[in-house]
Amino acid sequence: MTNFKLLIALTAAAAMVLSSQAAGETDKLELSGFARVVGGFVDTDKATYEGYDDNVSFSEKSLIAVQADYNFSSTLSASVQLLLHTDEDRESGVEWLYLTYTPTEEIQFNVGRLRTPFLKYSDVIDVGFAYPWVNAPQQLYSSYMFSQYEGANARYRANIGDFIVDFEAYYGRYEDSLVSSGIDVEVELDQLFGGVIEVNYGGLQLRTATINGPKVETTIDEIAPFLQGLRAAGFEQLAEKFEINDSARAFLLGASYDTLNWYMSGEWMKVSSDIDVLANLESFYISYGYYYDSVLFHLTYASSNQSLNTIENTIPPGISPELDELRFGVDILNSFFPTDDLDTWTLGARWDVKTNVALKAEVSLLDGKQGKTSFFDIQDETFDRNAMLYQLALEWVF
Amino acid sequence: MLKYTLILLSLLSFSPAFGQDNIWVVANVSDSNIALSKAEVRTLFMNNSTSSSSVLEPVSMMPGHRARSIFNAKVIALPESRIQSYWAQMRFSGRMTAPKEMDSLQAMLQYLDENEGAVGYVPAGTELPSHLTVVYASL
Repeated sequence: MTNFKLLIALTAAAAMVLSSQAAGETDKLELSGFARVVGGFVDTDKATYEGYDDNVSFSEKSLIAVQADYNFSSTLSASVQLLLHTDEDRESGVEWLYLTYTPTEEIQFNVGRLRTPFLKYSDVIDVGFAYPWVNAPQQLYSSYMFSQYEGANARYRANIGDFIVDFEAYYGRYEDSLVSSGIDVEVELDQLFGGVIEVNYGGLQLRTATINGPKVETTIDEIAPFLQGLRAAGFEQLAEKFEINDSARAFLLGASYDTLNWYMSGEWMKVSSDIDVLANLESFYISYGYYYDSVLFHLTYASSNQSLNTIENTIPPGISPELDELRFGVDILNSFFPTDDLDTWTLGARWDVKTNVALKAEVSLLDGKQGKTSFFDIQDETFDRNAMLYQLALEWVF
Repeated sequence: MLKYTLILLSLLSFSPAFGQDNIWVVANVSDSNIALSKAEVRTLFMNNSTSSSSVLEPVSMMPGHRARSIFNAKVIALPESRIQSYWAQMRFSGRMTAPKEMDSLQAMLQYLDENEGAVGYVPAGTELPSHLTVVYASL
């Protein structure tokens, strides 16, 4: 929390310095930003979902960000985005920092710290104002991997008749510490690459994207001594299966159609990997929205299916207390890796109060599967994996 | 054909109700024969992109202006809120920024007048400075 306050102070100071400079060079420097206040709760005390429990909380997704774009010339600019976040599992700080070179109208290069483009809204997932939901479908938006990278991308836009086709390719490296079920996981990729192709024709948009990590290296300090124990006891093969050190990739197909009065959109995603303990995940959503004056009503169905990849516990029981302990450890470890099968129905409304302010309300029926994690953090094993999630949000861009 | 349509439109625009319900897309271009299709105008204003050889700069009216509402409905075919969320996405993902916005018809005409390649929209029937060309008329 102290860090958070410090960051607020630093960002405010940076914004002041930048805006005082801006007074002299208004054409060169553009300041903008976004903020969201999100509150919600689930109607169960047996599990939490996305950090929400049965008490109303505003600290899971609320955030504020300031972006500064500095134009050196008509073709070269620098951008930085500072993000302050109240989520305990995420770090506040420099979210984006990059140089943009636009030699022609059709071609753009970015170099620096960037967000990985994959799903329709994945590079603006913090900008709630940019999408209809309070919470974009969890089955896709929290499950794609490697949300940012340090590297470069190239974009090319082609006008073919009335079609606009955008190509994007990126290459970089990724390093992050994630918190999964309360345990710190260090993830490192020396190489991360992928691309997006987007076709727009009037209100119709078709998208496809990939992410590839040929070698995903993961360190979980908490389990390192246990894996050493397994090796010492001669279960080398078993220990190896819990080592996450292999390739992973994801593939996406998406389509949307927007009109003056309504829209339909959907995305389908498949994550696969050669890592033994990380199962394959397939998920999709389909959404319909209708505009009634300045209020948008929307309904979304989303579903995910994670193929189970439990490692067979080859340690024989009842031989010695030490082995029994190791055997128990393997069971625990198996249950640590998530099995996120979940179906949700979400009904929501978004009211654009002003051109830069929107209020949102949303109700989601979460229908998980017995015996699986289903994106819940389960506190009580008797939990039936069904819950309602209620959320309110204020979205602001400036 | 376009010229004929435009003459017809300007005649009809004497009826105020009809005139207010349509817009002209107006450009400061040297070639007065240039004409854009509706799809080309949409692409120019939503993607800042054009298939024509000359570089064009789109200029909008501020939200709330009637000309903008008509333009949104008839050319972009998206509600204002969707257009705003789209530009938030484009800006904060570092792709592009929304067209400049003018707060009055007078400011729009002045900007178009002073900037070669600028393309804006005005209520159909607006009296135009001589070197501005109507490149698209909504129906």
